[in-house]
Amino acid sequence: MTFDADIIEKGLSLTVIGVSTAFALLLVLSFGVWTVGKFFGPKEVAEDAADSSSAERRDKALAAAIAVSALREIRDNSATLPTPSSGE
Amino acid sequence: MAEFIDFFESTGLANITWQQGLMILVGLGFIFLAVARNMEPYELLPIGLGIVAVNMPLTGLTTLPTEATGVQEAGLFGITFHYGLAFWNILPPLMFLGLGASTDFGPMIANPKTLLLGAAAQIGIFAAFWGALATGLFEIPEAASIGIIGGADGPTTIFISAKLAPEILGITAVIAYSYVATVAFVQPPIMKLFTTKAEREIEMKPLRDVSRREKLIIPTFILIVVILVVPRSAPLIAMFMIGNLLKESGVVPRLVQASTDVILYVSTIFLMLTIGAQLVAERVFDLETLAILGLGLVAFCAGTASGVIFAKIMNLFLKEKINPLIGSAGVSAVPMAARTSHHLGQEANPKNFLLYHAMGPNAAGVIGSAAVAGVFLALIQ
Repeated sequence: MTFDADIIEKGLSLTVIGVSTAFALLLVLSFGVWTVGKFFGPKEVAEDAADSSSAERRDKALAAAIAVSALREIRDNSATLPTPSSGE
Repeated sequence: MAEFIDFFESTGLANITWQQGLMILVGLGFIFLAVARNMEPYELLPIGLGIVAVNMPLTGLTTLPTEATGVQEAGLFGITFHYGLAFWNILPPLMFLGLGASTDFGPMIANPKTLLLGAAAQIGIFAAFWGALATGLFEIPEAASIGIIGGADGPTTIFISAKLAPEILGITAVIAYSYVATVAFVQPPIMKLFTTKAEREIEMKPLRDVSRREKLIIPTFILIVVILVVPRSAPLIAMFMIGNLLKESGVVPRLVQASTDVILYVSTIFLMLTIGAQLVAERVFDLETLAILGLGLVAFCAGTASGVIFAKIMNLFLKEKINPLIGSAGVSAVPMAARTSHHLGQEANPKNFLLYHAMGPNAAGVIGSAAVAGVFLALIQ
């Protein structure tokens, strides 16, 4: 394993800039999304948080729906039209 | 008799090499996996067909349309490669339009701190990047193209490889999609290795509802911020967010249908056939390909591990703990990585419903890998 000094320097700058950009960007987005939620989120947020049963039911229903669609996809691929993965 | 010999020598039968024969078998293997095992059929089936077609001898299918190429001399896959990827690179952004129109940012909006998990999982990109440089086989542009496999985002991998290292485009794309297809097998051992049973059992509170206004504002906000910081990611991010805005606006259902059906599927066919067509025998049978295969796995595993570890680090500071299993979904691979988090969570605690929670880092991973891709393009090209 031999590294040219130029390659190390370029590689390091790419790594530092790449990692810090990804974190800084997503941190800013995270803060921005949170702020937008504070101003434009649904008014019943507090009630929903207190009574979480409806959201829990929704999560369970979503999980069940996805499990069923995955099973159908496996059983008969020609009968369904799932979206190609992003990579995705 | 001489004519018969001349004719025979002009056929593929007389010109096929063992490497081409082997590649045809590889292509048939892909087709088998897609049809019989239902593994990423939308990707592996056209890729397999592309491999079989271009490894037939004397077809000229991959001849590029250049000035030196005469009229009607360019090959079909040479044309789709040149205009779809190498020259215009339009197919990956078109796929992003369709994917954006099928993505729900709701979980990410409801729990914005999970966006950070999408950043953490990008560490895998840099692990593979340095691994590629360490082999001494690759220069920085190729190493970046190999590293981006760790983002587990097929269109982004293709977008970057087509710009930085078109000679390894077919290999990186196929390896990226292959690992995406095997998320359910590759990720769980790593996720279990870095978590305790108690951590996997952590139940997460159901997410709050998200308003329509939030769903309209957020994609616009992300589009502006990301493109301002990393302008070179614009083709991917802009198309992703435009697709999402079309969906969330609720006023253009036909455009949404066109994006998620026609555009997504048409670009998938051409993109995957073109990728398969890049896998000609002379490019595949060398040490570099094996190295990329190994490095892709490194990228994927490192991305999974860093997402999980970062979730554990976040837990040190959070009052309301998150289940670290959702960290692995930051590698993109939508929605398989989120499903894997959910299944492992249920295995540890049947009351766990992590799917919706894991979709947040999953969507953030797409944004994160596109941002890193933009950094690579800005600094390498």
